[in-house]
Amino acid sequence: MMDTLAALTIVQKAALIPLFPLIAAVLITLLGGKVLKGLSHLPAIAGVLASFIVAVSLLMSYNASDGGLSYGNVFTWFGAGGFHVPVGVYVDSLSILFVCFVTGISTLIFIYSGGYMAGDYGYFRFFAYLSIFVFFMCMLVLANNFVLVYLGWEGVGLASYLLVGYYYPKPSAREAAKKAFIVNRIGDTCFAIAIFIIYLTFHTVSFHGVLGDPHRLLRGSWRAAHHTAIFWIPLLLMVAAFAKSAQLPLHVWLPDAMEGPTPVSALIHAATMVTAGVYLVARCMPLFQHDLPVLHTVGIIGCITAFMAATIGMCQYDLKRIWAYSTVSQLGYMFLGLGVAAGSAAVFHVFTHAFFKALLFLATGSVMHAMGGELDIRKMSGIRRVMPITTVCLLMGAFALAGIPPWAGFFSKDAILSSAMNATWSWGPALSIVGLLTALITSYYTFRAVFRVFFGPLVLPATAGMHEPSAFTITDAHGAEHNGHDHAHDDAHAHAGKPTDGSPMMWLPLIILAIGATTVGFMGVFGGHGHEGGLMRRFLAGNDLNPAVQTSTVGIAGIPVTHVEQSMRVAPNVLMGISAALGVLGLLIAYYFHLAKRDAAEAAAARFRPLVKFLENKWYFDELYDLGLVQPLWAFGWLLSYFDRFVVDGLVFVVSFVPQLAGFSIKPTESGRLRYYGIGMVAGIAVVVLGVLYLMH
Amino acid sequence: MELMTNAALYQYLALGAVLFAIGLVGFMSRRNMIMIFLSTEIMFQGVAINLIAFARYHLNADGQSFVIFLLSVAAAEASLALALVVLLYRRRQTLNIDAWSEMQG
Repeated sequence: MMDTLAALTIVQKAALIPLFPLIAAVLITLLGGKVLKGLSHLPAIAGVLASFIVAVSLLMSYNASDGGLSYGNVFTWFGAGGFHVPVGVYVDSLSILFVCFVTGISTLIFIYSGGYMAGDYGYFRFFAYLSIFVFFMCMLVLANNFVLVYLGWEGVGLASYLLVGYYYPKPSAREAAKKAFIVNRIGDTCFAIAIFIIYLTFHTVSFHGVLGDPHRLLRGSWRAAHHTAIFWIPLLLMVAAFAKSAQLPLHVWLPDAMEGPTPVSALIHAATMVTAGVYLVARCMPLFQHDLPVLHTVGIIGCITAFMAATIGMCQYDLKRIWAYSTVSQLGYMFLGLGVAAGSAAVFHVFTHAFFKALLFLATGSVMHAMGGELDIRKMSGIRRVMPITTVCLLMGAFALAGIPPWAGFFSKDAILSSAMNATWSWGPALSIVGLLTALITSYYTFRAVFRVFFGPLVLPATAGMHEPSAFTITDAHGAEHNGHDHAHDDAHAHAGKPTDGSPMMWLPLIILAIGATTVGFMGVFGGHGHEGGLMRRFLAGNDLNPAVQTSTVGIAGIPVTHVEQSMRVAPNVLMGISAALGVLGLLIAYYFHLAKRDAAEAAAARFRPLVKFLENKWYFDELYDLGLVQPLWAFGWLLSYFDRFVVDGLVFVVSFVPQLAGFSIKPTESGRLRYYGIGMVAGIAVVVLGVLYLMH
Repeated sequence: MELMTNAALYQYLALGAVLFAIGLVGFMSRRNMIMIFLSTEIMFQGVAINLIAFARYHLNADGQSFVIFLLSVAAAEASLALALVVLLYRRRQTLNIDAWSEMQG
């Protein structure tokens, strides 16, 4: 197979990648219900694994020295007049990196899902959705024009809607799915408008035509002619990215999206959904680079989101919800990195985050599986005794999230904070300091959850070892319960009452991810051959993700931007030390409050009751939305409904009343008696004849 | 053939008009379906006499040939109409046209 692959060009290989999950999705959709049934995971895993192999071979054949960019069209999607949208790929280090980790992490999640979802009602439906999800994400990161990116963008939105609402008999799942879809719609609309403006400005939607000529973006006369467009395009793209990547104030959908099955959360949070926004901004860096107000907004919002979500994470009790807020927070870091024009650091963080967040969610899924669906960290304790493998793996993910060296998250987070600290932008250090504070909070809430759930005396919830009650349990007319699990599954899991790590299909992916979460961070420090930022930075170097951003727009007219050298504010090594110390400090605080003296935590929470309540209610964002948007819209809806009922319907009634009245008035003439019709006819003829005679004389 | 005088023409036209009027009054006043049908036939004959009278007055055959067509078509139509009357009678066991007045407003 490798020989066949080697013979293909880069464009052909890249075009193959989205194809496999698509084939798998179609296959499962057509055959899943009747033929594949419980084996539906096999085509899905095969499809995504094939994509991963092709992606790796693409990575192997990638050669950064010759510019590193390949792009080409496969076929024309649609065209009208001079406007053509091809289906084609754009292969550079950024898209290769994304497609590699998307397919790689997805493969592990798919394998895990095979074990986790075993016997669930609608098993094939689940894998069809997963495959289509990966297909759209691959389209998104490989597309060579904005319209095709938009296809992928909408596609992942659709797939996430279907998967979040997978347990559709549950009202909360339906609500969460709708919320995710509607909030994303805001971003989608902005993206669509941005594409329209891009076409009006550049007369093309291809990446090559828009981004391929950075010098044009700098030319004074060109900028003057398009000054409105070059402000609005990045702004709208930013809103689009914020909606997809759950940034303030559009973050509300992501924590609710955990209503889907846990592997879906892993997929959304790590690989296929929220990274799309970061990808978009990183890809369009040449557009953002000279629009400083927007670029700075990206950084500031990212920083605020990181801090806000981390504080919320401190006071949540649902394990999955804690990880969900940690995702929002880590995405905030990524946008902070993009905002200070440190794109490679941001993309590096996306990469490491994919490993440890997938790991955390999948390990949490195992906990949920073993505990019969219970995830409240107040109801369990010390479960490392019954789930040793899961505990060790999750601990690796927790170290990475908390930013403790040498785990992966430490290096990527540090790269962002260091870039912010030494940015030419004067706000950079302030954002960096908030980022450091957030790192402390992150470490604290991560280990709060870990120490509560996995350490201490063994306490299991009452549901431990039982099956999570299926969402598809329905009661038929005879009162008998049917649930989604088939009987073979119940027999296979006849370990009633004993929570375990689950099948190897579940813990093997965890181990692989744990190794990844521990080691991938070294790409940021080693292998750079003297380059700052290591292998990762060198790999991404061809992409110009870290443009030298000018601090004032004055110098832009006609002059290519040159790198502005300036002295480092804080040496990266010192910052690394501070960051590591804060990570460990957070761990120690969590150790004291949540393992050594758990009573002290309750006492402290009681003392700061209003603050805790504020954080437990997630800064009242949902309530704000309700008050500011939902209620006024309801009121407006009522108003329109009454307008419709009284004004519009009234008009329609009046209009219909006129012919009704006319008909009513002449109705008696239709007696049904032939002779009256005859009389009427004769009278009519007589009138006409007499009239004609009268007129003639 | 000698010409017809105007006075003679008027007599024929008067006969046609009387026949048409008798038929019309019969059509409007009778309830028996067969009588109504006969009334329409009488109106036909009134028209036919007019046509023949004018044909004779103008000394050409157009009116007469027209009447021959008219009579044959009327015969065909009579067979259809009587068949319809038979059908209607079978439905209601009566020839009263007022039995068929559902189509009222």
